[in-house]
Amino acid sequence: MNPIIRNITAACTLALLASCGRPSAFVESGEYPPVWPDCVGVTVPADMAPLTFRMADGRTFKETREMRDGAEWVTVKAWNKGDKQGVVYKPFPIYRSEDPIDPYIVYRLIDPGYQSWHSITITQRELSSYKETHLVSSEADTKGCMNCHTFYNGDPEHMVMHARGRGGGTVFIDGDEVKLLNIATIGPKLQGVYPAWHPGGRYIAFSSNSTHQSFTINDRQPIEVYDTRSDIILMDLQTDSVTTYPAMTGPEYLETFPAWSEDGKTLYYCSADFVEEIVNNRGQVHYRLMAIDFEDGQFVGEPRLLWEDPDGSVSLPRCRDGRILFTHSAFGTFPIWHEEADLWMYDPQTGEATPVEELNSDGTESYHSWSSNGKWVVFSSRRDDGRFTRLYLAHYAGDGRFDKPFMLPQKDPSHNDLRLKSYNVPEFLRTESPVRQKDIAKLFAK
Amino acid sequence: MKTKTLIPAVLFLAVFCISQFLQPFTLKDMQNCGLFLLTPDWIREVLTGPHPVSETVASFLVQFYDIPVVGALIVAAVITLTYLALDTVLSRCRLPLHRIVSLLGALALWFFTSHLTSNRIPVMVMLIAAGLALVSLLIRKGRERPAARWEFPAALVLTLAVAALIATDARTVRQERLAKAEVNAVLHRWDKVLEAATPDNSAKDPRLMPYAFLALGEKDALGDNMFKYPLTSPDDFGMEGENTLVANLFNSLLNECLHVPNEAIHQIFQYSAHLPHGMSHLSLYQLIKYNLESGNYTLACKYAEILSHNTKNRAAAKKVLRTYADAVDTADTTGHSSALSLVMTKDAQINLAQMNSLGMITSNSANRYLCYQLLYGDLENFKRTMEMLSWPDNRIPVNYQEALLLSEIDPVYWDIDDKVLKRFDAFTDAVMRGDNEAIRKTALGNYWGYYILIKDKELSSGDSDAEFPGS
Repeated sequence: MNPIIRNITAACTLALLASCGRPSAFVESGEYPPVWPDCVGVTVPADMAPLTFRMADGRTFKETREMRDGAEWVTVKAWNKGDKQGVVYKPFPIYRSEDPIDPYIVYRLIDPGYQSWHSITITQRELSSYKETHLVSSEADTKGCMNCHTFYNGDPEHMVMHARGRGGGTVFIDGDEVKLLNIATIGPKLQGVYPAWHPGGRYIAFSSNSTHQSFTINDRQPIEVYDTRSDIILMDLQTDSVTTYPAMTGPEYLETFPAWSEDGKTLYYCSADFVEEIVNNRGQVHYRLMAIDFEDGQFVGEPRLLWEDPDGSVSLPRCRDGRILFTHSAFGTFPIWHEEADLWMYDPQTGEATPVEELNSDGTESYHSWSSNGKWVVFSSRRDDGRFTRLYLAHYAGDGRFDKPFMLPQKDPSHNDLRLKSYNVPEFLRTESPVRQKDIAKLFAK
Repeated sequence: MKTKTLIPAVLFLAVFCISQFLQPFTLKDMQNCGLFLLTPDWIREVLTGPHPVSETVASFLVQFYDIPVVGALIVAAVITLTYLALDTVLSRCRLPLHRIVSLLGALALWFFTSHLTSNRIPVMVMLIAAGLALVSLLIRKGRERPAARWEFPAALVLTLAVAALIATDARTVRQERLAKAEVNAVLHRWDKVLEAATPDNSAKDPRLMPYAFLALGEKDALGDNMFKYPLTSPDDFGMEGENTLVANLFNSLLNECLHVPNEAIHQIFQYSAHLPHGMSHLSLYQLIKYNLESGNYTLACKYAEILSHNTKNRAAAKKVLRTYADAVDTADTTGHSSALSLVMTKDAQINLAQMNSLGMITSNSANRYLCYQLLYGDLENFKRTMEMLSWPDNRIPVNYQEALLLSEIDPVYWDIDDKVLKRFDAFTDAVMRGDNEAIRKTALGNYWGYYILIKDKELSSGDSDAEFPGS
């Protein structure tokens, strides 16, 4: 057969096949398409992996994209199988920001709460693609729990992570050196749980928490996690020593969630009055936003109260440009199980804190981190199904305002539906991290 | 028919019959514990695991164990194919008696894996044997030696002997009974649960007792039958506070029956954490069910969507998705405040009291509460609780009547059956006379026997307050 005729025949066959089941006519809709994840009018970094979506109602669709006026305009045609007429929706924009974003994020993939877990992984995701790499899994520490990980200034060569289980402790990574220290055997003999790395690199502030959880009998919120004791401790990485500061230690207050100011001269943290029989009186536990000065490797002076809400509780303060983004919930210290938990911003100029409406939803918003340039945040939310935490990224427009956030995209959007794990503790990374499984497994094999 | 054909045929038939008729619930339980999902995470987990091929094949096959006859056919095929593969290898290696040796290998595999709750090992062995068989085909085939006349009879005897061993193996029998109780409890077939969890079987395997009491509670027959079971302490009654595969599944089913979906969901997640994939076909089914019952259609549909990526359960999951596609969540916080809501404890009695205080009382929960009071020998509170309850046709369950009599109540006011009164007279008479044999006879299978047991324990532990009412 003549090659031209053959190619035309093949093209016609493909076109016929492609058009099978698609309506012949489309009516125009003046509305944006109901897509999931919602990416209508969101702002993404210029080098972000393409946002993928599906029709929220499961209809078949076809999309076309074009770049115009600094935004990607997406036109969606949708129809039900067998329909003779489909709908063509109003094109929606995906705005491109020239503000760069760190190329990687690291998060923990974990079963959504409850006492036990099958596996936990600390996983790295490249933002310009869909590539996901497990850096370390709980197989490395004999199925123990892997707690909050943190990096020094987003540098994967400097990482700290707490691992429970047999022979557990705190894992420190410094370049090629990987070591396991049981902080609970040093100095004040308190375990390090939530870490905050000082911008100078020499110190890490930890909160040392005695954490418990209870399961409600018939409440929509199934779990409450609470501390019966928590203090702030300071570790000096040069001397491997741990110290406490009297104003942040002791049973009368519960101090937690340390976070440094960008200049390293102030430590922010949360503090609540100790409450007896905390399970039954958990509604009385309201954490305040506190600050204490730090000079020459030690805390100085008395802690200062920055902000408090007698009907609310502060968790996870994160400082950038002098403002503090934190999680606000009705009470307690573990907001991921609180449907009412939202992200709020504290403005030191006014001394006021207000909800960041652009980021919040009817569901839970909780853990959050700033990118190294302070132009982006990644935060966890349970807005989609109320149980499985997913990650959202948002562009910081300045002056306490954010652009509309978008869900961490996947090559196939249904992956966000089908994944039986929650994402938590998302942190930005400035370069790619090597896989740490073997290094960490060796520590626990000893 | 040739020996070459007869041996595998007999082997297949034997494995099929034992699996189909003596292990149907073990097979069903394997399906419950397994997970096959064509989702990115499942595929990645399996492919990066230590045995990607055997894990994929085993997980694919196990989903069909839901239908016992299909499961039995698959088990028989796996064992028979292992035999055939081994025989191919050994015959190519010109090993004398290769058929008998191969049969011994296949029978050993069958015996050692017959009580397992996973098909991964036999499938892995079958695949390795099949691989070796393929490689052995490279060896030039020699002239086949005809089978000796004794080979088939010997093979038949060996196969039947192993079949008999498996059929009577205590571990296999126990496993099947427990699986029967679990599988039927999931389906709320309480009579079938009681067929497995009889008092005699419970004496051999105490794990059956909680299932028996759950079934009796659901049938409103707990107060008449519980002391027919070999109870020795309150711990035998339930599995609260335990964190094992068996206990977590039971606790999930118990809380489902008590209408406490939060705890049922908590326990099914705990159950799943023990399993190789951290989730299972059963877990997904139960999560769909519990979320539908609590009006959380969003989550129910999420789990159904995930289950729809399973070959065998796709249609059922799609049906759920179609039915509840437009359903609006009805679960809300009306009447509840998270800060004040009561929480579960490790003490079953406290949990039941809290449920009752929240108005979550069911016949089963009320009976379980009373039973715990009896099991702890707390007769004063038992009597007080009884005074607050009413009974159908004013008939108090027999075990409760027995306990009330120990509390020195007025039998007329409480309308105690004459038969129970007569038995009690005989029992107290035996106690007065110190006639141990008569005490044993009159206290057998009723509350008095249990009461003596716990009072004896208290006395031997030096509790001087231990006293036997009516003595």
